[in-house]
Amino acid sequence: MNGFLGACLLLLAPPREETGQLLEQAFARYRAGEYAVARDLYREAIRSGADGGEIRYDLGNCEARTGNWAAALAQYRRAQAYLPRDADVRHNVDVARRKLGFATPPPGLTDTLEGLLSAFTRRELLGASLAAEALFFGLLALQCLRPSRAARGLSAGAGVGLFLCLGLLGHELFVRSARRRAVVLAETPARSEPRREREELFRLRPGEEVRILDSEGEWVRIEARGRGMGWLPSGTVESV
Amino acid sequence: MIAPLILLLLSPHQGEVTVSSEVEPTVLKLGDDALLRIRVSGAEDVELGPLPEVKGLALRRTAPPSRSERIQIYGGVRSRSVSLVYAIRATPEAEGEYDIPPIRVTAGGRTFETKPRHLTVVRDFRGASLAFLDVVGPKRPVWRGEVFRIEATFGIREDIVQAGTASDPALRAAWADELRDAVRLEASQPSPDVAQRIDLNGRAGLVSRIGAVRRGNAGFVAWRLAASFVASFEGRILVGKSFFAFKHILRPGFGLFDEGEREPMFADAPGFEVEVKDLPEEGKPEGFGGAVGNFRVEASASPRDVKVGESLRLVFTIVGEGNLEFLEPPDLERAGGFERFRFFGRLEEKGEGKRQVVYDLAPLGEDATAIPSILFPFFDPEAGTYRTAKTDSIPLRVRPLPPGERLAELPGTPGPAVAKDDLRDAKPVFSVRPAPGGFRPSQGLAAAVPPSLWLGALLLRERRRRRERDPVGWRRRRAASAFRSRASLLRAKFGGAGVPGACAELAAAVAAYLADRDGRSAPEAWIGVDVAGLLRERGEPEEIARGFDALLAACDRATFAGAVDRGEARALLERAVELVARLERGGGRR
Repeated sequence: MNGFLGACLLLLAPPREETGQLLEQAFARYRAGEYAVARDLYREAIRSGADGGEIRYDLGNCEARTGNWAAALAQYRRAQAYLPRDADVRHNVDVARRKLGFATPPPGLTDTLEGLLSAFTRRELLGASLAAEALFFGLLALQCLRPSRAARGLSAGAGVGLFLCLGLLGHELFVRSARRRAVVLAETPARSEPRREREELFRLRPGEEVRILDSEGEWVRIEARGRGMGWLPSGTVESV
Repeated sequence: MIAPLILLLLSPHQGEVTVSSEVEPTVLKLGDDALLRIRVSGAEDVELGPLPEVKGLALRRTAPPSRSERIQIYGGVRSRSVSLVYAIRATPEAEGEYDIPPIRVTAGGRTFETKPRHLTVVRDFRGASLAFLDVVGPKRPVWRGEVFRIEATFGIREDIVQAGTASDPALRAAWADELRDAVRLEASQPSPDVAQRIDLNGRAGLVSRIGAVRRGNAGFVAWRLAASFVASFEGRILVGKSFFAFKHILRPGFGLFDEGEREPMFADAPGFEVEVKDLPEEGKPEGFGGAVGNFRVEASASPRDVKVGESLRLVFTIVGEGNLEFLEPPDLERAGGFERFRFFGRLEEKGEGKRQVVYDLAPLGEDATAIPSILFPFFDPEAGTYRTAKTDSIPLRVRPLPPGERLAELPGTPGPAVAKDDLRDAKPVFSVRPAPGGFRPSQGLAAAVPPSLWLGALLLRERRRRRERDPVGWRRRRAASAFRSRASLLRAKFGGAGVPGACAELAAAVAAYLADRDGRSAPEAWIGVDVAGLLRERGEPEEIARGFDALLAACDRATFAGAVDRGEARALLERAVELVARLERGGGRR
């Protein structure tokens, strides 16, 4: 059903040439220093179905140039999903975090491991898994038809490679995607229940990165690291 | 430049789709209609889902949606917002309480649901003399960004309260939930000693008990509810009609099944408009951060005796009444006089009636002998002019670095300072690709191919092994298989002309089968000989041996004498098939 809706949306979206023109205009406006106009053009291009690390990175720069650092951080984080090893994106993430008053701590063991696990895009992991699978089963087939010690050793190695690739892909699909991270856009109180008049548990600063756990109407339930869980109006966070 | 952005933050983001709904009035007399308005902003491709069915309440759309477009330009930043408003008329059939369930709206490719709305229908508005409701807003037009307050005071006649014959107080005031074109500020809860829980727009809400008040000659027990808002747009904000209801107990109930007799009573307050004016461009000071209200500022620093590059905390506090939650504190990195300081970051704290910013900064040289005074421009709504508050400068003692020590290597610095233009620049996008979706069928197919190849290889290996394990059996099976193929071709021939030729082919097929199965002879070796004897020699059962002999003799007769018709020829073929099958099932061993 989702696939069908996606196909309909793609059919309704403007043709690629038009989206390409939007992106060209956006970049030209950015170069001219008209950051707000460029930002709107990038958003228009995204609404029309285009997406990618470069677009999110450029949109993040527009947000940053217009002083909206929290929104910029959200866009850079989105760009990182497409370009996890891009040095420019990583640099601008650090700049945005510092601008928002968050120091970047030296990475610990967990962060290093997390960094390794998130160093590949879903597309890359899928491609690597398919290649490892083809190699593994190809070598198994070869071993069936022309049994040899070399074929057995190679297929065992390919099996280990396939296992690793599938593990990383599974982590990406079922752990990272399920986490649904988000960036807080404006200073917001987290409440005990999805109502304005409910108890305020703690306040979140613009640029704080949280995990979305649940949603109800116009509210989302989030978990802030080291601070607990609470409800926020959905408009105050941008999922990344 | 920052001010318009702050003001824009108060309004819905351009491109962001928002859906809201309101019902007016929330309490109506039987025979009147209420209007449910669904407003969709930020999208033009809007589709309204089916209207829900509410028992006793007829809902119907009145006309095509009305469209409005709002364009704003602030400091060169242009924002455009398109809104569509769908009007749905609600006609009640009987008095009572009605809940209008959420209505699905598809806008901008996303699906939204309106909030459930509550409607109270009464036969008549009675009780104006037993209760009162006053709703007041600002006495003058407000400025965009200014905080204004709406306050409802309501009460029930003292003698009714004292007699205990009033129950279920309820306030129906849509503005208490939200007000279009204004942002509702978080209200502080009433203190526990005066707080009272009542029905507020169908939900439990807290109001403040203010005790006895006199209106004319009557005394009332009264409560108050107040809400503060920040005006987001220039124009007029409509505050709808409000109602206060309670039940007058005419006869108390006596048990679970006797609720007594209660009559609903109402007091209402008319709706009104709040006029919102835009902030004047004239006289707008440099660095105006959208602050509207009446403020004063203070600053303190510690420590004030530091080395070059050593971090100190500058606490800047804004105190006063106004839009403290939304204003942008001064950006000292860009402010004049702070060039000789490095900024490491800032932390913000918001409290009741104050906003505090803690800047972490360090002097870059011994010549930074004071923290300059900080200017804070704001708009004074009472006076209608811009004003600037400022802090006193704070003297510092800055000691030089010890010889050989460099600024960048100072311990304790959380990281290099962010230069004003430290961002890596935007890049042109060369290729446009659609947003990534889920897995594609082609990827599933690609994943299925290698295991299929492997299974194919396994089957091939198994077949080869079987052949190696039992070469005789394999040969027999192949011979039978080849015969079955030829027999199926012959079946077609027996259907047409040329029965003798087909019988010759059948004989040849049988001979070829026996030769293939034997593995030691050519097909010719089985023609014109004692087939039964040969088969007996190879250990085949007597009955089958004679069957083959008779079959081949019959084929010969049919071929050379032409003494069979089509039916007999077909019977010969079926006999041959049956014999081959019997031989395969239980044939003799070699």
